[in-house]
Amino acid sequence: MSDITIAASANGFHKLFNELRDDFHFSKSDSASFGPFSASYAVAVHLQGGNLALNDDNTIDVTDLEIVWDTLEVQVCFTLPELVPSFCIVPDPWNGCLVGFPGIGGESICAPLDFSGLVSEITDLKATLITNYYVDPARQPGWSDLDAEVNGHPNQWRLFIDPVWVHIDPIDIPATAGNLLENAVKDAINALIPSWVPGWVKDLVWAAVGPILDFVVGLLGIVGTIEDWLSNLLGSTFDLLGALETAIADYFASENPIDLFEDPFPVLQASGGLIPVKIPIRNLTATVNSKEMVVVADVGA
Amino acid sequence: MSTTFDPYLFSQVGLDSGALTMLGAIVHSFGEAGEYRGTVRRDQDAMATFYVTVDKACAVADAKIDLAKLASPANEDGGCCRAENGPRFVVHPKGYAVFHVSGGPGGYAVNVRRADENPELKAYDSRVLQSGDIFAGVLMRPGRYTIRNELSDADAEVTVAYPVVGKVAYKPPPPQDVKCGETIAPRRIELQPVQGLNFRVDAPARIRIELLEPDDGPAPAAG
Repeated sequence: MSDITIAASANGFHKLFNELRDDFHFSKSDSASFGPFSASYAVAVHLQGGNLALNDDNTIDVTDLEIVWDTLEVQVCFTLPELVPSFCIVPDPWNGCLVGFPGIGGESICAPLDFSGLVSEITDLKATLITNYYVDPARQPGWSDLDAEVNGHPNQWRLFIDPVWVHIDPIDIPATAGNLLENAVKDAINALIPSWVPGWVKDLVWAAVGPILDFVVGLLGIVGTIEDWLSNLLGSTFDLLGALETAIADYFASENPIDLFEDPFPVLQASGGLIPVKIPIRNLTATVNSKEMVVVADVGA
Repeated sequence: MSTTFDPYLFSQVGLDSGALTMLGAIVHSFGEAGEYRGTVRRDQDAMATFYVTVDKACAVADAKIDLAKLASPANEDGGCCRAENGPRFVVHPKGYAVFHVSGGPGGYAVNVRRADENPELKAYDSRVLQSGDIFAGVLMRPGRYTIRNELSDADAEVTVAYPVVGKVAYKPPPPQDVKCGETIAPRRIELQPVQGLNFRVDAPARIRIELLEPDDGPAPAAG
Protein backbone atom coordinates (compact mmCIF):
# COMPACT_ATOMS: atom_id res chain seq x y z
CA MET A 1 0.00 0.00 0.00
CA SER A 2 1.31 3.42 -0.94
CA ASP A 3 2.08 6.06 1.67
CA ILE A 4 0.58 8.99 -0.28
CA THR A 5 -2.51 9.13 -2.51
CA ILE A 6 -3.61 12.34 -4.24
CA ALA A 7 -6.63 12.56 -6.49
CA ALA A 8 -7.81 15.24 -8.90
CA SER A 9 -11.35 15.14 -10.24
CA ALA A 10 -11.96 14.84 -13.97
CA ASN A 11 -13.05 18.47 -13.85
CA GLY A 12 -9.79 19.48 -12.16
CA PHE A 13 -7.78 17.47 -14.64
CA HIS A 14 -9.63 19.21 -17.46
CA LYS A 15 -8.59 22.61 -16.06
CA LEU A 16 -4.97 21.50 -15.85
CA PHE A 17 -5.14 20.30 -19.46
CA ASN A 18 -6.71 23.56 -20.66
CA GLU A 19 -3.90 25.60 -19.12
CA LEU A 20 -1.37 23.38 -20.84
CA ARG A 21 -3.25 23.58 -24.16
CA ASP A 22 -3.42 27.37 -24.04
CA ASP A 23 0.33 27.63 -23.61
CA PHE A 24 1.07 25.63 -26.76
CA HIS A 25 2.49 27.66 -29.64
CA PHE A 26 4.20 26.39 -32.73
CA SER A 27 5.83 28.30 -35.56
CA LYS A 28 7.86 27.14 -38.52
CA SER A 29 9.00 28.31 -41.94
CA ASP A 30 10.70 26.52 -44.78
CA SER A 31 11.36 26.73 -48.49
CA ALA A 32 12.28 24.29 -51.22
CA SER A 33 12.82 24.14 -54.95
CA PHE A 34 10.82 21.68 -57.01
CA GLY A 35 12.37 22.13 -60.46
CA PRO A 36 10.00 24.36 -62.41
CA PHE A 37 8.91 26.23 -59.29
CA SER A 38 9.90 26.92 -55.70
CA ALA A 39 7.71 27.34 -52.67
CA SER A 40 8.00 28.64 -49.14
CA TYR A 41 5.73 28.92 -46.15
CA ALA A 42 5.53 30.51 -42.70
CA VAL A 43 3.09 29.24 -40.07
CA ALA A 44 2.23 29.95 -36.45
CA VAL A 45 -0.49 28.04 -34.59
CA HIS A 46 -2.16 27.74 -31.22
CA LEU A 47 -4.65 25.21 -29.87
CA GLN A 48 -8.21 25.77 -28.76
CA GLY A 49 -11.30 23.81 -27.70
CA GLY A 50 -11.23 20.06 -27.36
CA ASN A 51 -13.20 17.53 -25.36
CA LEU A 52 -11.29 15.52 -22.77
CA ALA A 53 -12.39 12.10 -21.61
CA LEU A 54 -10.69 10.04 -18.88
CA ASN A 55 -11.17 6.31 -19.40
CA ASP A 56 -11.22 3.38 -17.03
CA ASP A 57 -8.48 1.69 -19.07
CA ASN A 58 -6.04 4.37 -17.83
CA THR A 59 -6.12 6.32 -21.10
CA ILE A 60 -7.10 9.86 -22.03
CA ASP A 61 -8.99 10.77 -25.19
CA VAL A 62 -8.95 14.26 -26.61
CA THR A 63 -11.35 14.98 -29.44
CA ASP A 64 -12.27 18.09 -31.43
CA LEU A 65 -9.10 19.87 -30.38
CA GLU A 66 -8.68 22.70 -32.85
CA ILE A 67 -5.50 24.03 -34.43
CA VAL A 68 -5.83 27.72 -35.19
CA TRP A 69 -3.43 28.82 -37.94
CA ASP A 70 -2.72 32.35 -36.72
CA THR A 71 -0.27 32.63 -39.59
CA LEU A 72 -0.48 30.46 -42.68
CA GLU A 73 1.38 32.11 -45.52
CA VAL A 74 2.46 30.29 -48.64
CA GLN A 75 4.46 31.65 -51.54
CA VAL A 76 4.93 29.99 -54.91
CA CYS A 77 7.61 31.30 -57.29
CA PHE A 78 8.20 30.44 -60.93
CA THR A 79 9.54 31.79 -64.20
CA LEU A 80 7.40 33.48 -66.81
CA PRO A 81 7.73 32.50 -70.48
CA GLU A 82 10.46 34.33 -72.39
CA LEU A 83 9.22 37.52 -74.02
CA VAL A 84 11.20 36.58 -77.14
CA PRO A 85 11.47 32.80 -77.18
CA SER A 86 14.61 31.21 -78.55
CA PHE A 87 14.28 29.93 -82.11
CA CYS A 88 16.39 27.81 -84.40
CA ILE A 89 18.68 29.46 -86.95
CA VAL A 90 20.62 26.45 -88.21
CA PRO A 91 18.85 23.10 -87.89
CA ASP A 92 20.96 20.00 -87.50
CA PRO A 93 20.50 16.99 -89.78
CA TRP A 94 18.88 14.99 -86.98
CA ASN A 95 15.86 17.26 -86.56
CA GLY A 96 17.40 19.20 -83.70
CA CYS A 97 18.93 22.63 -83.70
CA LEU A 98 22.61 23.35 -84.23
CA VAL A 99 22.51 27.11 -83.71
CA GLY A 100 19.72 29.00 -81.95
CA PHE A 101 18.77 32.60 -81.41
CA PRO A 102 19.10 33.32 -77.69
CA GLY A 103 15.76 33.90 -75.97
CA ILE A 104 15.13 37.17 -74.19
CA GLY A 105 13.37 37.50 -70.86
CA GLY A 106 11.99 34.80 -68.58
CA GLU A 107 11.52 36.71 -65.36
CA SER A 108 10.79 35.08 -62.00
CA ILE A 109 7.71 36.07 -60.08
CA CYS A 110 6.29 35.03 -56.72
CA ALA A 111 2.62 34.67 -55.83
CA PRO A 112 2.00 35.10 -52.09
CA LEU A 113 -1.08 33.49 -50.56
CA ASP A 114 -2.36 34.20 -47.06
CA PHE A 115 -4.66 31.67 -45.40
CA SER A 116 -4.13 32.95 -41.86
CA GLY A 117 -7.08 32.26 -39.58
CA LEU A 118 -7.86 28.79 -40.91
CA VAL A 119 -8.78 26.15 -38.33
CA SER A 120 -7.81 22.50 -38.54
CA GLU A 121 -8.76 19.72 -36.20
CA ILE A 122 -6.86 17.12 -34.26
CA THR A 123 -9.30 14.34 -34.88
CA ASP A 124 -7.67 11.84 -32.60
CA LEU A 125 -5.32 12.21 -29.67
CA LYS A 126 -4.99 9.24 -27.31
CA ALA A 127 -2.65 9.45 -24.35
CA THR A 128 -1.59 7.87 -21.08
CA LEU A 129 0.03 9.47 -18.04
CA ILE A 130 3.73 9.02 -17.45
CA THR A 131 5.97 10.24 -14.66
CA ASN A 132 9.50 11.42 -14.91
CA TYR A 133 12.04 12.24 -12.21
CA TYR A 134 13.73 15.54 -13.00
CA VAL A 135 17.08 16.64 -11.68
CA ASP A 136 17.62 20.28 -12.46
CA PRO A 137 20.85 20.61 -14.48
CA ALA A 138 21.51 23.92 -12.69
CA ARG A 139 21.67 22.16 -9.35
CA GLN A 140 25.23 22.16 -7.99
CA PRO A 141 26.67 18.76 -7.01
CA GLY A 142 27.42 19.84 -3.41
CA TRP A 143 23.98 21.24 -2.68
CA SER A 144 21.65 19.72 -0.12
CA ASP A 145 17.92 19.46 -0.95
CA LEU A 146 17.45 22.58 1.17
CA ASP A 147 20.13 24.46 -0.82
CA ALA A 148 18.44 23.38 -4.05
CA GLU A 149 15.05 24.65 -2.86
CA VAL A 150 16.48 27.96 -1.64
CA ASN A 151 18.27 28.46 -4.98
CA GLY A 152 15.16 27.55 -6.96
CA HIS A 153 16.51 24.31 -8.46
CA PRO A 154 14.85 21.45 -6.55
CA ASN A 155 14.41 17.95 -7.93
CA GLN A 156 10.92 17.22 -9.18
CA TRP A 157 8.54 14.41 -10.00
CA ARG A 158 6.90 15.46 -13.22
CA LEU A 159 3.64 14.21 -14.62
CA PHE A 160 3.16 14.20 -18.39
CA ILE A 161 0.36 13.40 -20.79
CA ASP A 162 2.05 10.98 -23.16
CA PRO A 163 0.22 10.86 -26.50
CA VAL A 164 0.13 7.37 -27.97
CA TRP A 165 -0.86 8.95 -31.24
CA VAL A 166 -1.82 12.34 -32.60
CA HIS A 167 -3.72 12.60 -35.84
CA ILE A 168 -4.29 15.95 -37.51
CA ASP A 169 -6.75 16.40 -40.35
CA PRO A 170 -5.32 17.70 -43.66
CA ILE A 171 -5.23 21.50 -43.82
CA ASP A 172 -8.58 22.52 -45.20
CA ILE A 173 -7.51 25.08 -47.79
CA PRO A 174 -10.66 26.86 -48.96
CA ALA A 175 -12.03 26.40 -52.47
CA THR A 176 -11.32 30.08 -53.12
CA ALA A 177 -7.59 29.21 -53.32
CA GLY A 178 -7.80 29.08 -57.13
CA ASN A 179 -9.09 32.64 -57.30
CA LEU A 180 -6.54 33.80 -54.74
CA LEU A 181 -3.71 32.23 -56.73
CA GLU A 182 -4.98 33.68 -60.01
CA ASN A 183 -5.18 37.17 -58.49
CA ALA A 184 -1.77 36.83 -56.82
CA VAL A 185 -0.13 35.83 -60.13
CA LYS A 186 -1.92 38.64 -61.96
CA ASP A 187 -0.75 41.16 -59.34
CA ALA A 188 2.82 39.83 -59.52
CA ILE A 189 2.91 40.15 -63.33
CA ASN A 190 1.40 43.64 -63.20
CA ALA A 191 4.01 44.62 -60.62
CA LEU A 192 6.74 43.28 -62.89
CA ILE A 193 5.70 45.26 -65.98
CA PRO A 194 7.03 48.82 -65.74
CA SER A 195 4.42 51.52 -66.17
CA TRP A 196 6.34 53.14 -69.03
CA VAL A 197 6.19 50.17 -71.43
CA PRO A 198 3.83 50.64 -74.37
CA GLY A 199 0.51 48.82 -74.51
CA TRP A 200 1.65 46.35 -77.17
CA VAL A 201 4.38 45.08 -74.81
CA LYS A 202 1.82 44.45 -72.07
CA ASP A 203 -0.39 42.62 -74.56
CA LEU A 204 2.62 40.56 -75.65
CA VAL A 205 3.35 39.54 -72.04
CA TRP A 206 -0.26 38.57 -71.35
CA ALA A 207 -0.54 36.72 -74.67
CA ALA A 208 2.56 34.64 -73.77
CA VAL A 209 1.10 33.82 -70.35
CA GLY A 210 -2.40 33.08 -71.66
CA PRO A 211 -5.18 32.23 -69.21
CA ILE A 212 -3.47 32.57 -65.84
CA LEU A 213 -4.95 29.54 -64.13
CA ASP A 214 -4.16 27.27 -67.09
CA PHE A 215 -0.61 28.63 -67.12
CA VAL A 216 -0.11 28.10 -63.39
CA VAL A 217 -1.76 24.67 -63.32
CA GLY A 218 0.43 23.50 -66.21
CA LEU A 219 3.60 24.99 -64.78
CA LEU A 220 3.10 23.62 -61.27
CA GLY A 221 1.88 20.25 -62.55
CA ILE A 222 -1.37 20.47 -60.59
CA VAL A 223 -3.64 17.47 -61.01
CA GLY A 224 -6.99 17.96 -59.28
CA THR A 225 -7.96 21.11 -57.45
CA ILE A 226 -5.62 23.91 -56.47
CA GLU A 227 -6.78 23.72 -52.85
CA ASP A 228 -5.93 20.02 -52.66
CA TRP A 229 -2.56 20.68 -54.29
CA LEU A 230 -1.74 23.41 -51.75
CA SER A 231 -2.93 21.25 -48.85
CA ASN A 232 -0.75 18.41 -50.08
CA LEU A 233 2.21 20.73 -50.68
CA LEU A 234 2.10 21.95 -47.09
CA GLY A 235 0.96 18.82 -45.33
CA SER A 236 2.89 16.13 -47.16
CA THR A 237 5.58 17.62 -49.40
CA PHE A 238 6.83 19.95 -46.67
CA ASP A 239 5.61 17.45 -44.03
CA LEU A 240 4.18 20.31 -42.02
CA LEU A 241 1.48 18.10 -40.48
CA GLY A 242 4.10 15.56 -39.40
CA ALA A 243 6.19 18.31 -37.83
CA LEU A 244 3.14 19.67 -36.02
CA GLU A 245 2.07 16.23 -34.79
CA THR A 246 5.58 15.68 -33.46
CA ALA A 247 5.64 19.13 -31.84
CA ILE A 248 2.32 18.47 -30.08
CA ALA A 249 3.43 15.03 -28.91
CA ASP A 250 6.75 16.38 -27.63
CA TYR A 251 5.08 19.35 -25.98
CA PHE A 252 2.77 17.16 -23.91
CA ALA A 253 5.01 14.11 -23.44
CA SER A 254 8.31 15.61 -22.42
CA GLU A 255 8.45 19.38 -22.45
CA ASN A 256 5.51 20.59 -20.36
CA PRO A 257 4.25 18.55 -17.39
CA ILE A 258 0.58 18.71 -16.55
CA ASP A 259 1.59 18.69 -12.89
CA LEU A 260 4.76 18.39 -10.81
CA PHE A 261 5.78 17.61 -7.26
CA GLU A 262 8.91 18.93 -5.62
CA ASP A 263 11.14 16.28 -4.07
CA PRO A 264 11.59 16.32 -1.14
CA PHE A 265 8.04 17.63 -0.84
CA PRO A 266 7.64 20.64 1.49
CA VAL A 267 5.23 19.85 4.30
CA LEU A 268 5.96 22.78 6.66
CA GLN A 269 7.59 26.07 5.71
CA ALA A 270 10.58 27.34 7.69
CA SER A 271 9.53 29.43 10.70
CA GLY A 272 10.79 30.53 14.13
CA GLY A 273 14.37 29.70 13.29
CA LEU A 274 13.47 26.14 12.31
CA ILE A 275 14.28 24.68 8.92
CA PRO A 276 11.33 23.57 6.71
CA VAL A 277 9.95 20.07 7.01
CA LYS A 278 10.24 18.11 3.73
CA ILE A 279 9.52 14.49 2.99
CA PRO A 280 11.25 12.54 0.24
CA ILE A 281 8.92 11.06 -2.37
CA ARG A 282 9.64 7.72 -4.00
CA ASN A 283 7.93 5.52 -6.58
CA LEU A 284 5.48 8.15 -7.78
CA THR A 285 2.98 6.88 -10.35
CA ALA A 286 -0.17 8.37 -11.84
CA THR A 287 -3.24 6.76 -13.36
CA VAL A 288 -6.63 7.88 -14.55
CA ASN A 289 -10.09 6.39 -14.45
CA SER A 290 -13.35 7.78 -15.72
CA LYS A 291 -13.81 9.94 -12.61
CA GLU A 292 -10.40 11.23 -11.62
CA MET A 293 -6.64 11.22 -11.82
CA VAL A 294 -4.91 9.35 -9.01
CA VAL A 295 -1.30 9.94 -8.00
CA VAL A 296 0.30 7.50 -5.53
CA ALA A 297 3.78 7.56 -4.04
CA ASP A 298 5.86 6.26 -1.15
CA VAL A 299 7.69 8.26 1.46
CA GLY A 300 11.36 7.55 1.18
CA ALA A 301 14.05 7.33 3.78
CA MET B 1 17.27 46.30 -64.91
CA SER B 2 15.59 43.14 -66.10
CA THR B 3 16.34 41.92 -69.61
CA THR B 4 12.65 41.48 -70.35
CA PHE B 5 11.98 45.16 -69.85
CA ASP B 6 15.24 46.59 -71.13
CA PRO B 7 14.05 49.90 -72.65
CA TYR B 8 16.17 49.29 -75.75
CA LEU B 9 14.04 46.26 -76.59
CA PHE B 10 11.06 48.49 -77.18
CA SER B 11 12.65 51.68 -78.45
CA GLN B 12 14.81 50.11 -81.19
CA VAL B 13 12.01 48.92 -83.39
CA GLY B 14 14.04 48.34 -86.56
CA LEU B 15 16.96 46.05 -87.35
CA ASP B 16 20.29 46.63 -89.06
CA SER B 17 22.66 43.77 -89.77
CA GLY B 18 25.54 46.27 -89.72
CA ALA B 19 24.66 47.59 -86.26
CA LEU B 20 23.52 44.69 -84.12
CA THR B 21 21.14 45.19 -81.20
CA MET B 22 19.54 42.74 -78.79
CA LEU B 23 17.01 41.65 -81.39
CA GLY B 24 19.51 40.65 -84.08
CA ALA B 25 22.34 38.14 -84.48
CA ILE B 26 24.78 37.20 -87.21
CA VAL B 27 25.81 33.61 -87.82
CA HIS B 28 29.07 33.21 -89.68
CA SER B 29 31.15 30.15 -90.50
CA PHE B 30 34.90 30.64 -90.82
CA GLY B 31 35.32 27.52 -92.89
CA GLU B 32 39.09 27.33 -92.60
CA ALA B 33 41.00 26.30 -89.52
CA GLY B 34 43.28 28.91 -88.04
CA GLU B 35 43.67 31.73 -85.56
CA TYR B 36 41.47 34.76 -86.05
CA ARG B 37 41.53 38.13 -84.39
CA GLY B 38 38.31 40.12 -84.13
CA THR B 39 37.40 43.68 -83.28
CA VAL B 40 34.06 44.82 -81.94
CA ARG B 41 33.10 48.16 -83.47
CA ARG B 42 30.44 50.72 -82.86
CA ASP B 43 30.37 53.26 -85.67
CA GLN B 44 34.07 53.91 -86.29
CA ASP B 45 35.22 53.12 -82.75
CA ALA B 46 36.97 49.87 -81.83
CA MET B 47 35.35 48.77 -78.56
CA ALA B 48 37.10 45.44 -77.85
CA THR B 49 39.17 42.71 -79.38
CA PHE B 50 38.76 38.95 -79.22
CA TYR B 51 40.26 35.81 -80.71
CA VAL B 52 38.63 32.85 -82.39
CA THR B 53 40.45 29.57 -82.73
CA VAL B 54 38.95 27.55 -85.55
CA ASP B 55 40.13 24.05 -84.87
CA LYS B 56 39.25 20.70 -86.44
CA ALA B 57 39.90 19.05 -83.09
CA CYS B 58 37.19 21.16 -81.45
CA ALA B 59 33.68 19.73 -81.34
CA VAL B 60 31.97 23.05 -80.59
CA ALA B 61 29.32 23.72 -83.25
CA ASP B 62 28.54 27.27 -82.22
CA ALA B 63 30.58 29.87 -80.40
CA LYS B 64 28.26 32.48 -78.94
CA ILE B 65 30.09 35.79 -78.96
CA ASP B 66 28.29 38.41 -76.91
CA LEU B 67 29.38 41.76 -78.29
CA ALA B 68 27.78 43.71 -75.42
CA LYS B 69 29.81 41.76 -72.87
CA LEU B 70 32.99 42.11 -74.88
CA ALA B 71 32.49 45.85 -75.19
CA SER B 72 31.64 46.26 -71.52
CA PRO B 73 34.61 47.24 -69.37
CA ALA B 74 32.80 45.74 -66.37
CA ASN B 75 32.96 42.27 -67.87
CA GLU B 76 36.46 41.80 -69.05
CA ASP B 77 36.31 38.10 -69.74
CA GLY B 78 33.52 38.56 -72.29
CA GLY B 79 31.90 35.38 -71.06
CA CYS B 80 34.76 33.29 -72.27
CA CYS B 81 38.21 32.18 -71.56
CA ARG B 82 40.51 35.12 -71.46
CA ALA B 83 43.65 34.74 -73.49
CA GLU B 84 46.74 36.84 -73.11
CA ASN B 85 45.50 39.64 -75.35
CA GLY B 86 41.74 39.21 -75.12
CA PRO B 87 38.91 36.70 -74.81
CA ARG B 88 39.23 33.59 -76.95
CA PHE B 89 36.48 31.48 -78.47
CA VAL B 90 36.91 28.07 -80.04
CA VAL B 91 34.82 26.51 -82.79
CA HIS B 92 35.00 23.74 -85.41
CA PRO B 93 35.70 24.86 -89.01
CA LYS B 94 32.21 23.69 -90.02
CA GLY B 95 30.70 25.30 -86.94
CA TYR B 96 29.44 28.83 -86.53
CA ALA B 97 30.29 31.99 -84.68
CA VAL B 98 27.11 33.64 -83.40
CA PHE B 99 27.57 37.37 -82.90
CA HIS B 100 24.81 38.66 -80.63
CA VAL B 101 24.06 41.43 -78.10
CA SER B 102 22.76 40.51 -74.65
CA GLY B 103 21.77 43.98 -73.51
CA GLY B 104 22.18 47.71 -73.81
CA PRO B 105 21.95 49.97 -76.84
CA GLY B 106 24.04 47.76 -79.15
CA GLY B 107 24.94 49.16 -82.56
CA TYR B 108 27.85 46.75 -82.93
CA ALA B 109 29.64 45.32 -85.93
CA VAL B 110 32.62 42.98 -86.03
CA ASN B 111 35.72 42.87 -88.13
CA VAL B 112 37.63 39.58 -88.15
CA ARG B 113 40.86 38.73 -89.92
CA ARG B 114 43.47 35.98 -89.75
CA ALA B 115 45.70 36.60 -86.78
CA ASP B 116 48.80 36.25 -88.94
CA GLU B 117 47.80 39.57 -90.55
CA ASN B 118 48.33 38.28 -94.07
CA PRO B 119 47.35 41.32 -96.17
CA GLU B 120 46.32 39.10 -99.06
CA LEU B 121 43.56 37.55 -97.00
CA LYS B 122 40.48 39.73 -96.88
CA ALA B 123 39.03 40.53 -93.48
CA TYR B 124 35.46 39.60 -92.63
CA ASP B 125 33.33 42.67 -91.94
CA SER B 126 29.85 42.00 -90.58
CA ARG B 127 28.64 45.22 -92.20
CA VAL B 128 28.96 43.35 -95.48
CA LEU B 129 27.36 39.95 -94.99
CA GLN B 130 28.79 37.22 -97.18
CA SER B 131 27.16 34.32 -98.94
CA GLY B 132 26.53 31.64 -96.31
CA ASP B 133 25.99 34.13 -93.49
CA ILE B 134 22.68 34.24 -91.68
CA PHE B 135 21.19 37.34 -90.16
CA ALA B 136 18.58 36.34 -87.58
CA GLY B 137 16.28 38.78 -85.86
CA VAL B 138 12.96 39.52 -84.24
CA LEU B 139 10.65 42.44 -84.88
CA MET B 140 8.85 43.05 -81.61
CA ARG B 141 6.73 46.03 -82.39
CA PRO B 142 3.59 45.15 -84.34
CA GLY B 143 3.30 46.97 -87.64
CA ARG B 144 4.42 47.14 -91.25
CA TYR B 145 8.13 47.31 -92.16
CA THR B 146 10.33 47.61 -95.22
CA ILE B 147 13.31 45.30 -95.68
CA ARG B 148 16.18 46.50 -97.82
CA ASN B 149 19.52 45.08 -98.85
CA GLU B 150 21.53 48.27 -99.05
CA LEU B 151 24.18 46.62 -101.20
CA SER B 152 21.83 45.47 -103.95
CA ASP B 153 18.82 47.71 -103.46
CA ALA B 154 16.60 44.63 -103.24
CA ASP B 155 13.63 45.21 -101.02
CA ALA B 156 10.65 43.48 -99.46
CA GLU B 157 7.92 44.15 -96.93
CA VAL B 158 7.04 42.46 -93.70
CA THR B 159 4.01 42.78 -91.45
CA VAL B 160 4.07 41.81 -87.76
CA ALA B 161 0.68 40.93 -86.28
CA TYR B 162 -0.58 42.44 -83.03
CA PRO B 163 -0.53 40.00 -80.06
CA VAL B 164 -3.87 38.60 -78.95
CA VAL B 165 -4.59 37.13 -75.53
CA GLY B 166 -6.19 33.85 -76.51
CA LYS B 167 -7.60 30.80 -74.80
CA VAL B 168 -4.16 29.21 -74.71
CA ALA B 169 -0.73 30.69 -74.07
CA TYR B 170 0.73 32.17 -77.26
CA LYS B 171 3.83 30.55 -78.72
CA PRO B 172 5.28 31.97 -81.93
CA PRO B 173 5.45 29.68 -84.96
CA PRO B 174 8.87 28.54 -86.31
CA PRO B 175 11.03 31.30 -87.80
CA GLN B 176 10.45 32.57 -91.32
CA ASP B 177 13.29 31.83 -93.73
CA VAL B 178 14.12 34.63 -96.17
CA LYS B 179 16.63 34.50 -99.02
CA CYS B 180 18.62 37.70 -99.28
CA GLY B 181 21.14 38.84 -101.87
CA GLU B 182 20.47 40.33 -105.28
CA THR B 183 16.81 39.83 -104.43
CA ILE B 184 14.83 39.20 -101.31
CA ALA B 185 12.39 36.31 -101.30
CA PRO B 186 9.64 36.19 -100.39
CA ARG B 187 8.88 39.84 -101.04
CA ARG B 188 5.85 39.96 -98.78
CA ILE B 189 6.20 38.39 -95.38
CA GLU B 190 3.52 37.96 -92.73
CA LEU B 191 4.87 37.36 -89.25
CA GLN B 192 3.13 36.46 -86.03
CA PRO B 193 4.19 38.35 -82.87
CA VAL B 194 7.87 37.73 -81.91
CA GLN B 195 8.24 35.19 -84.72
CA GLY B 196 11.87 34.91 -85.80
CA LEU B 197 13.29 35.91 -89.18
CA ASN B 198 16.29 34.09 -90.66
CA PHE B 199 17.87 35.89 -93.61
CA ARG B 200 20.03 33.41 -95.51
CA VAL B 201 22.50 35.51 -97.44
CA ASP B 202 23.54 34.44 -100.94
CA ALA B 203 25.24 37.65 -102.11
CA PRO B 204 26.86 40.57 -100.27
CA ALA B 205 24.25 42.22 -98.08
CA ARG B 206 23.58 44.76 -95.41
CA ILE B 207 20.03 44.25 -94.27
CA ARG B 208 18.11 47.15 -92.87
CA ILE B 209 14.53 46.85 -91.63
CA GLU B 210 12.56 49.99 -90.85
CA LEU B 211 9.11 50.57 -89.45
CA LEU B 212 6.69 52.06 -91.97
CA GLU B 213 3.47 51.96 -90.04
CA PRO B 214 2.95 50.85 -86.44
CA ASP B 215 0.02 48.68 -85.41
CA ASP B 216 -1.30 49.70 -82.01
CA GLY B 217 -3.91 46.98 -81.91
CA PRO B 218 -7.62 47.26 -81.51
CA ALA B 219 -8.89 50.54 -80.12
CA PRO B 220 -9.95 50.25 -76.47
CA ALA B 221 -13.68 49.72 -76.03
CA ALA B 222 -15.56 52.96 -75.46
CA GLY B 223 -16.77 53.64 -71.95
